Amino acid sequence: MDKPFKITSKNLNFFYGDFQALHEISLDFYERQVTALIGPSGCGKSTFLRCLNRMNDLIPGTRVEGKVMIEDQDMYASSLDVVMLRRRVGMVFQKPNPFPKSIYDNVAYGLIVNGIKDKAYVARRVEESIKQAALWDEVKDRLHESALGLSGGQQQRLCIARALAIKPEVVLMDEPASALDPLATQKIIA
Amino acid sequence: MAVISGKNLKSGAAGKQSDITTFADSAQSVSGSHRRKIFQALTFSIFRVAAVINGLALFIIVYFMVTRGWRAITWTFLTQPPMDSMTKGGILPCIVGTFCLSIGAIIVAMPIGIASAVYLNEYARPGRTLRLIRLGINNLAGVPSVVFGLFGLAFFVVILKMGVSIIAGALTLGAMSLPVIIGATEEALKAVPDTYREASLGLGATKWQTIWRVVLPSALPGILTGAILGISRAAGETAPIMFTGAVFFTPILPTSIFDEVMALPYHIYVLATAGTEIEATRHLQYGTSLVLIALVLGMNLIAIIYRSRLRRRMQ
Repeated sequence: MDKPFKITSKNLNFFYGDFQALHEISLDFYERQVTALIGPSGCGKSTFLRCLNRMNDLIPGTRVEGKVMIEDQDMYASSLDVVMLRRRVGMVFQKPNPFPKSIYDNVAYGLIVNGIKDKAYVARRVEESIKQAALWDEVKDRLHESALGLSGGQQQRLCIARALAIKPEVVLMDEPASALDPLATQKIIA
Repeated sequence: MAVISGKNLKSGAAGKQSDITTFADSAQSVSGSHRRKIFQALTFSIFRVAAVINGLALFIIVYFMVTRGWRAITWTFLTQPPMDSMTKGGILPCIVGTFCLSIGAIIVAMPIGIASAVYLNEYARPGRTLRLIRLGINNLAGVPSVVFGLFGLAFFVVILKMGVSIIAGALTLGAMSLPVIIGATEEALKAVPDTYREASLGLGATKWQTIWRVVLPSALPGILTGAILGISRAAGETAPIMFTGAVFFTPILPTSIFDEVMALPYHIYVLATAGTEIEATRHLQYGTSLVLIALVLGMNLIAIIYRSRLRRRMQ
């Protein structure tokens, strides 16, 4: 493999208060490649994944030791802008969590908060992303209806579309497979 | 309910007697299950009675107001100022005054209350400062309304030289409803699932964007309901405004926020205790109360309609 590493974790320890959830994890992720983490439930897959875009920052009383690098930047350096980091490293969560907004607004959300004002571009990205998540044919006629009216599987694909819309460099997917058919997975990789 | 309980009791006792001779163990369990049923019925009855008392209280209040006050409600009553030492005429200045004070209180208290709740719930780190602020707010909620009135008199009217005016009264009412608004807003914010916040932050939104675009819109129905309920409660108070915004009598309608006004609750108090013809103006007192209740219920109704409309839009 001569592809460069995209994300590297070195001796990563993670604590929920006094409880150590992750022990000395060193793992490299290649660019433009799917890496799957497999393990029994409760072994820390989600916790590890959430370390890779600093989502665990949101949980009070947690602590990180060790290093996570994205390209040559230290993710946990104090100079790093965590908002910018999360733009680069998108995430799809275990349970579908669409906003109580319309389907269109859900996908456009990431673009709008990132300051994109060109409405034609937003509309194009929304369509592209929903197509990439293999959801377009099911929702193209009701883009302005609430996302909460979709089925669980559709909601999950909507969340994937939402994550893809801002063209992140990396997408972290926390077991979305229960709601995702292989075809959609294939399309997202391509 | 009581009749059914009685039957259960009887059959329970009979069952127990006949069973004792044959199966001692099952008799125990049968009587046990009967006892549980009786207990069930009893607790249900207690809760039901409690609920009925609640409904009854509202019904009786409204019944009294309507039967005794409806004769007073005329076009003149609603559109004219009081006349002949307040024994005749209407209550227009009071309606306008209470309306101005309530709107003023909303304008003062809603932004501050919502902003405080957002700070407490979304930004502040748990710790001693947060506990102190919470303690302060809870104590503010327990301060008697007459103390708010005196505070308003000393601070807004005298020190800030606002005089007895709409603005001083509205500020006092606003200060009084702050704890209610903060409490309601915090509850509404807590009800917003954390997954919304995570999803938004995960898309590279800042904390403020998350609060403004996702958290607050989701919490808005709850915030508005709580806020308007708090204000409408305050709108019916006499003590906070009697030194700060409302006067005994003024036939002129306010033209600026520095004018003094009449107000419905204070007017009722005046008519019922300090008027020249207390007995002769009874129907006016009930009529005024009826208008006040209608105003407060009307505000609540607006809040409820608005909330259900917002909820429907989100689903």
